[in-house]
Amino acid sequence: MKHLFPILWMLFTPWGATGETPTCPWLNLATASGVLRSSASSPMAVLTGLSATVCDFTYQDPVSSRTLKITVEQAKDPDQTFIAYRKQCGVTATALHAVGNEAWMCEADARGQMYGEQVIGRVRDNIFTVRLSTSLRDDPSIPRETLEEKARTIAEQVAGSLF
Amino acid sequence: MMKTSFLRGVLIASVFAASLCLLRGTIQAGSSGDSARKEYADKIRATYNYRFGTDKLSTPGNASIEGDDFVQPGAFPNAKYCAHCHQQAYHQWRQALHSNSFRTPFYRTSVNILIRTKGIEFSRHCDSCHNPIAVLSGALTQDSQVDRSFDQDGLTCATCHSIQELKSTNGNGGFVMGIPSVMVDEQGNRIPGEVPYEEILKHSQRHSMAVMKSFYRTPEFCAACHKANLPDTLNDYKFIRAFTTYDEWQLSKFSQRNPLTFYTADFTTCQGCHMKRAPNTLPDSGAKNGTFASHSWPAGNTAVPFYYGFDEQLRKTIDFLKAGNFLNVDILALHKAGENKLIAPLGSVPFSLKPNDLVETLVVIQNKNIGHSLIPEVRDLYEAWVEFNAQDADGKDIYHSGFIKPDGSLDERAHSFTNRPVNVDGGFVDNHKVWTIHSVAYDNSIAAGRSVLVRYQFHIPPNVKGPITVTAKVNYRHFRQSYLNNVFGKNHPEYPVVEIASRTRRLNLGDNHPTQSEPSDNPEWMRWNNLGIAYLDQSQYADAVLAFGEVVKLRPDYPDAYINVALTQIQWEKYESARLSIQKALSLSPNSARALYYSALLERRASNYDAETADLKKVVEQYPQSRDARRDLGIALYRQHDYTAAREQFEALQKIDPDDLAAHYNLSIIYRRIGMEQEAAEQQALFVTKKFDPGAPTYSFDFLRQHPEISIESIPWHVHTNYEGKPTYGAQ
Repeated sequence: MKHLFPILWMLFTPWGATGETPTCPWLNLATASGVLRSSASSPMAVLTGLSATVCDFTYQDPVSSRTLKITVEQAKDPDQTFIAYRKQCGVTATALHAVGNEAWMCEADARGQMYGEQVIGRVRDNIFTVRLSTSLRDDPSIPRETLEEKARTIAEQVAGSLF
Repeated sequence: MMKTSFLRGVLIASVFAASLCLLRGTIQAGSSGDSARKEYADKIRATYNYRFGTDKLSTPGNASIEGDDFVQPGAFPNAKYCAHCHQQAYHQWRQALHSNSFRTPFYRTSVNILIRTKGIEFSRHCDSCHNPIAVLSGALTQDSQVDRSFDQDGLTCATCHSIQELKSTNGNGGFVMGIPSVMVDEQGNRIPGEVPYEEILKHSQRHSMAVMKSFYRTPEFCAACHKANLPDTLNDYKFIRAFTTYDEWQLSKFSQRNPLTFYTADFTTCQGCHMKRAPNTLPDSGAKNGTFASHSWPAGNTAVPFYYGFDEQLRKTIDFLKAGNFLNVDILALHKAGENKLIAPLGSVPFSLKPNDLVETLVVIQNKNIGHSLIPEVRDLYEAWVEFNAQDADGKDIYHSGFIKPDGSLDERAHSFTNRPVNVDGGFVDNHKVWTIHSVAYDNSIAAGRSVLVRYQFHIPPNVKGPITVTAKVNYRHFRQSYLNNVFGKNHPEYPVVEIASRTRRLNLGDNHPTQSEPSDNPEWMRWNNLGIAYLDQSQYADAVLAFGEVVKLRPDYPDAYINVALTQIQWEKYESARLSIQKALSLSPNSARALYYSALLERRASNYDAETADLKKVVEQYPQSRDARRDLGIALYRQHDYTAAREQFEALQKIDPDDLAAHYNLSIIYRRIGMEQEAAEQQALFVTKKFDPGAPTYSFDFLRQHPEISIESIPWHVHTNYEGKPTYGAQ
């Protein structure tokens, strides 16, 4: 019940109606930009999607685009819901230690268009996902290992905000 | 030859030119660094929530920074930068509590509640210590646009090693941070930010000058954060002292600053226990003679390494808790119902037991070698308790207290060394919502050097098979199960329970003869002494005098035995008897500061003010940092209308303990008398906010009334029992 007001606010308040910049409740734009940008001097990322359960950050430069998508769902049956979410990862998922109550990481490549890493995790009854993707198969500024490390770091940040 | 000279000349000229360039570059870097900081701070200030005043960046916390303005998080070099030359430090730090001071679920659960209920600006109170970069970079404001990637490193190398100055020992981040620097220039000016490793290696002394201060090795450095209060800006109520680990150390035998301790020890700082030098296993430029001061800071927190899977840190923590002879558990005496005689000390005296006896077991737990209380700091979340078990010959429980229940929670009737803070509704302050604390229903922690007496009464069954084995253990768990449930929900792994110390005795049915003592047992005089201390702290004065009397019998040449009798009698208001004991102590040890202090109190009682003052001056001479002696000398001098001298004592006292109420009270009067109106008003205000709220116990009583299962823990003298016969007073 205590979470209802912010959820309704986000659902029914159009951006700009309050005169305030919309913000993602689980991660701020500067931190998202920090993982998406090629360097500190690159332009900031943009919050391109925001709802009660989703934040989408996008970064675009002349050669690539990168996205960070965070979803959070409060589940009535967290164990079952988490199992369902985990199926998105398939059998190759890696268990992540010390991210929320539990978390798994897997590749999240999308039909040769986006190449990314995904974390599916749980904090009590909140199921969250973090998907970090780039349009370049071998993005020189985010190699695969870096992508994994960054996805994990963001997942830990998101989990921290949910505790 | 000429060629060599020429080359040498070229080399010298080159080095000179390079030095000039470096110096010039440094100066330019410094000024561009200043302008970058200003630009950053201007941006932060434009939207910063200045709820507590435009000159207060960190209120309700105390962290501050040179220049009193925000600094870019990037000004703090990353720990991995330091790791290049300090692999051992990095490896230890990464698993230690300091690097995880912010990110852990255990911390976030609590601070997130503060942020959600009162606002993120209030979290500057907690984060002044848990995440000072967040505070000083201005990240703790609504809709912050500061990149929080530094959260993962908590207290990084450059936070502790950039502190330039300490404020008073008030805690809550009582430090002044400098702009991080890893090297000073030739003039000793700090060069901000990272510099190339080659430069550091070439000028290691200049590196040391930038990152080390002599006060880093003092307990006052630790006090900056290992002491906390709840100011009215946080709780909208009044100043409440939260925890005082530094003061506990300062009052302990290890500080050698307090003449009133029951025992003595070598001077040992916080670092002496928590940063012990050990051979380094990884290369580290900070190692000296093959050893390195531990950056693991082993202490009691097993939960964080358990959660992160830091097995090395977990092992170190468990080893630390079990090592060092920190506690002594003594199953010291038995008392059979219907008999007046105390069977003590067990192991030294014969006795007999039989089925159907109702037996009270006296267990003395001594905080023997911890330089602070058991439990220190967050007593509402950590859990240490006594597990007492009496079993028959088949291992069947006759009585068991302090067990873990199937749901992981602790037997609520256990004797625990925790506290129960309560809010205005008389409810337990769960989840460490410290801003709602208005009272403390009880606090059963054991101060450094003190002992507690825990009584367990059990009925020996009629058909029991002997012998009976009684075991008393002190267990420790980080955290209380209900908090772990709040953090993770009920379905989480079991967190470690560590047995810190224990003692077992076998009780025969029939005759029991004296037995051999164990290596960890205290000598007999100390066993009696600890019993006396425990009785004294439970206001059982007659029993305390008897116990200390046994020490006198065993060690008639031990001055403190007489002093202990005297101080009990002083508390018991038997001043004439106390005087005799003090005289005896002083005859054995004329310069004993401890005896002189109590002598002074007796002289005051007898209106011998000159003698009182003379005694106290001798104590202060020997122990200039004795808060008790300073306080009482101030009072004595004030009574003699020597306000200048009294002021000197109270001001000295405030430097030792900035919260001393007597100092605030008396200084407010003295300052007013000598025309220092503003200072008088400040001291008066401090006295008013820090003094005990007489209305507060109401909330404690509400809590205790609602929780009969533990209410008896608030009474110093109580018995834990399984006896279901005729009710006995004071039993639970």
